[in-house]
Amino acid sequence: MTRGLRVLAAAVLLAQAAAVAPALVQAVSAARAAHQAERAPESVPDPWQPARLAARDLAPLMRLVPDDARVLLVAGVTSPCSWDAWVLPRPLRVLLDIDEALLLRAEREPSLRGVVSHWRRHVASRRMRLQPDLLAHELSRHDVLVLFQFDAARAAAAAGLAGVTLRPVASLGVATLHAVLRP
Amino acid sequence: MSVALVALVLATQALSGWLVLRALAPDLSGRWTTALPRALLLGPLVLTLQMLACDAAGVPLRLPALLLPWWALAGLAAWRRRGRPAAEREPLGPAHLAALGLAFALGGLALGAGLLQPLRAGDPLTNAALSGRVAATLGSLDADRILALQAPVFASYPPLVAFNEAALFRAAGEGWARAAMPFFALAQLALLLLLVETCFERARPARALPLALLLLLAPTVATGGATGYFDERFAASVLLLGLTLSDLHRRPGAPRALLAAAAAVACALTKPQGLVVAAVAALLLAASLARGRLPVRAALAALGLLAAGCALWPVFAHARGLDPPPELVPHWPGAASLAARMAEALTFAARQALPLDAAAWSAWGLAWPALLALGAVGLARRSTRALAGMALLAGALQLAGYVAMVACISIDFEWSLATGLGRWLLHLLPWAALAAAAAIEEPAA
Repeated sequence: MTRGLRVLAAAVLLAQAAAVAPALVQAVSAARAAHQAERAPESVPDPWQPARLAARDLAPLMRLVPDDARVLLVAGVTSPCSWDAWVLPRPLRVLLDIDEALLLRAEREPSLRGVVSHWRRHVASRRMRLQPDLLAHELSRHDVLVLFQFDAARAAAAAGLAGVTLRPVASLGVATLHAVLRP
Repeated sequence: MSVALVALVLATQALSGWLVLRALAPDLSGRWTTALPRALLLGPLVLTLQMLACDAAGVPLRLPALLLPWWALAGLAAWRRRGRPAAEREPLGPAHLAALGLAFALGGLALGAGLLQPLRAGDPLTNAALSGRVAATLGSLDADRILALQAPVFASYPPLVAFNEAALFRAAGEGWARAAMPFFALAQLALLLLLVETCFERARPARALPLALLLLLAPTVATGGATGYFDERFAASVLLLGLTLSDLHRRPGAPRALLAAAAAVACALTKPQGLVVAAVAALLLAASLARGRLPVRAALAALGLLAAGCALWPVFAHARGLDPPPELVPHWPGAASLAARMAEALTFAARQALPLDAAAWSAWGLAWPALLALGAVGLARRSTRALAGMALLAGALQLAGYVAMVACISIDFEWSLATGLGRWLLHLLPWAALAAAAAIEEPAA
């Protein structure tokens, strides 16, 4: 290599080091922030909060549920969350109390429009939007109810409609586990 | 979580890859700098094929049945080699060791950062981990259960990551979300080691080290492997393909051709874009055959493996009813629309690759302009024109294939470019690195 080429290579590498240094700092900060959010999920109200809360609260509750129990999960959550990952191998049905205003606000963001419209189609195709009569119908078909950031009184009212009784089994963080008792 | 069991699964992934490498290319399996990255890429491929075969045969996923055969094979190989002295290897120079040290440091960073942020949401769950959880908890890729999942899931996504995660999830139990992260950090390590090899393979250390540093210190490369995305594994498989194809000129024969085909199949089973890479590989293998650089039988064997490997998952998924969602079924958008989108994608790619704004600078620094300039030098020199030309052509074909793929499906094209193009550039980096490495190669005496 000639001297000129050496100087050029050194300059390029210095510039590259200047570009990578903040990226490395940011990557480490992001990992530490994610770790903090894992340890205290309530303190980080972002779209991934339900997933972190589910990991914290749902997984331990599921130890109390037999593998063949049919699980109904009712959540006051609007964003997508991989509930199944913590409930498997048990069959799961999810009903969501979706905040329509929040969805409309998200839809106005160009970067989120595609994701929100896909999520809307998914919710509609799976009939996941919570309605009192649908909740009552599903309660009559499941063995276990998990309430996740959801008011127990509303579930009890639906249980009355369905003619079943809800017996609280355990509670952890934002999740409550109920056995569905049929007459 | 059983850390020991997770470590055993990770070790078996590497061991199975090493055994396959030893069968196909013993010269590459003897030196750790070439063996380790290849083992980390080929192992998950052969475990995926093993699990697909078991799933098709109705054999449930059990760790002993999955792992023990490979350790038995390794024991047999060691017994057959007993008493034979290890081959003498040239020691690595300080420049090479420095580049390898940086690669391991960045790989360690990916591991540490990954363990702090376990799998929780987004594409890593949708595209693989949910299917992996089904396989891990039910013992098979139960299509009915996958289709009944309440979370959005991309059920027809290629299965390499999902199957390997299934083995890790089964080993980890409740700690599954964290247990998958070393798998991604090891893929990152494989990519970094192959980038170092690309630079040092044919050039003097004084030339190779600056190029290696340029590549390893590209921000997107240096910070990868920590978030559960598959792009580092994919890019590493593309680079393995490129390195093997360039090696094919020196060692034309079935073993190298089969290794190239295996790398392309690994791409096809890792991400949907892998089918584009496989098509590029098929074209390059066919071109080698047409120019008389590859024996007919070797070319046919490689092309046969490539075709079978690429068809395997679509046929399996279709038979199980795991078809792609309607918006991903391709249609012909019309020549004018395709040309306009191609131009738009190229403009977008140039804006992201060249350091014209803060976002592009913080993603790549000077990596792309420097690599393309070196690639042009490689193309201009008669002695390196073939290698640089092959690499640049392959990269151009891959980019064109990606654009055509996205233009032919019913999803928002601009949104796809905005969210995917940064990762596309990582997939294309191996070809640019190979072309740049050609430029620093020693001229033939």
